[in-house]
Amino acid sequence: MNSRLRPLCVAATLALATLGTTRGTFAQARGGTQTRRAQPAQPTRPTAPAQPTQAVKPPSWTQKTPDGQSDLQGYWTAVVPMITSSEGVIPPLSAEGKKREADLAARQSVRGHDFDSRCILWNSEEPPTLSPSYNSNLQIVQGQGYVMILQELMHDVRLIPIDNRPHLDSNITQRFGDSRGYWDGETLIVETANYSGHNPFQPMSSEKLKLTERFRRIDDNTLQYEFTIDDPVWMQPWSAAARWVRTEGPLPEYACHEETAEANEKRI
Amino acid sequence: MKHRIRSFILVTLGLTLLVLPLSGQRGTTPAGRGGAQPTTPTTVAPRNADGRPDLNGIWQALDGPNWNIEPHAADFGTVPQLGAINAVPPGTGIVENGPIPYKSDALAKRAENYRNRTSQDPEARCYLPGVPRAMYLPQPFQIVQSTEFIMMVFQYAGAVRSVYMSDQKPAPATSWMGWSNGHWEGNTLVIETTGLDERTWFDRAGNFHSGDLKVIERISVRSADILNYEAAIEDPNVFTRAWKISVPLYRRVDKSAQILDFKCAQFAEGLLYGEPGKQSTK
Repeated sequence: MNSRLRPLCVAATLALATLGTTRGTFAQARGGTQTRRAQPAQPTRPTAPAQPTQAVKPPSWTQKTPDGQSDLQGYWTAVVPMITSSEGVIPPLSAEGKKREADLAARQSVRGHDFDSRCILWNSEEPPTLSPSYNSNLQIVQGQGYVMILQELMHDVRLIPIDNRPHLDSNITQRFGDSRGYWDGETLIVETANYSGHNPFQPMSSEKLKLTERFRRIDDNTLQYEFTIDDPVWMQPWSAAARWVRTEGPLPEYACHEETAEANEKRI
Repeated sequence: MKHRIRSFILVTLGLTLLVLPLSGQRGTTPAGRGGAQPTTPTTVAPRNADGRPDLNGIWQALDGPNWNIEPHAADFGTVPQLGAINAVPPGTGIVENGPIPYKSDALAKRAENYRNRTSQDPEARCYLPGVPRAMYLPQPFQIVQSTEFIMMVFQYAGAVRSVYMSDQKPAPATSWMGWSNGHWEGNTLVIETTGLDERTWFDRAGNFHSGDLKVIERISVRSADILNYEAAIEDPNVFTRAWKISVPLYRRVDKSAQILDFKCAQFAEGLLYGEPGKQSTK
């Protein structure tokens, strides 16, 4: 069968099966007090075999992955996080933070220092995950010992080992830092350090940024995402939270650098 | 009693024999796909908790097929200022029963690519590498394997491949890394990739393909730390017949092995836009 048709047929079969049960064939058979003649004609197609003894299966997201992790997998849309610190706002900048902010403003006025138009990174990219103006979609896949988070824009990937191993040598700094995770019950806790000081977050955050994120599946369609920022550019640490919403895949490939360069070449 | 035990054993044996071939077949798709060929028998096949061969890990090819997938002697590089650092190391190649069966007009195109490789090699430009080149670049990649997806995350350019193990469909659009449908044939992961962008190359020597390229890869566990990697290449626009590459992928067993940040767009800006040396942005 054409592979494109196959899912359609499966969907049609499921729809038919559901139709059969929602018309109440099981309930009537059990109750037996209704006047059967009054019921609409049953479909001629045999209904699904009765499974009255089958226990209600727990939803699949509550099952563990083969290596025993809670299941965060799927396609998600990140939404704008709310500040959850006591004041409900980001705390004031420290003297160090104010200096970084001024330096940054000076740099922004020089052409070519904006990372997103150079296709190097998206300015609201993880980590922590904020929500860009569009296509803030993510995919989580869990393999043995790792949680992988793929972000649609710039196809940036986080590979998070969950054995809480030590961070990279301090000589290695990265724009997205270096993430280490571990499970606390149903919650994945990820600590990120080794930032380069050129990370897009906020964007005056520094190389001293220590980020702690918490990921927890609430139900089939919702993932609770919380993070705490500890960076001397702010007067005190602060936190925020968002509920990510399940979405549909696949994530298209966002070839920002390639197509920009090719378009530029054609113009010349 | 003895009789009963014997018949129990016989029945159990019979069931086991019945079940074994079935479990080997689980998840396979209709025959005829990808011109299935028997692969080298595997000695060890570590399994994940899912019962499938466990491909999780950080992998890398050796011996520089990225310079030229065909056999080649050592040669001068393209940037004399770099001296021997830029010289091409020799390699025995990864093409089986070569040379690559180019059509005659395609050979001219390859020669042109080779002449212009300093500026036109997609790797020099930090473009997504495509398939199969991503698999034997001189940088590691990591496999993250779940039941539904086999993700391949490459250090080079932050490229990523999603191999769809259940949500299989024809390529919805053309892309640099293509659309990959995967299935298990016994202990072998078979991946069929189409929808590949015509602008990627096979190596730094200008070997190329068209947008009709179809790559059928077969990946199996050779030993605990080595994968067998084969790819059948079909592209009737460029080649007179299908051909094959074969290269082992080695596990990066170093304790500190990790996929690091190699966002190379910044390194290609000088080449692409004539604005070298944006050192200040790191």
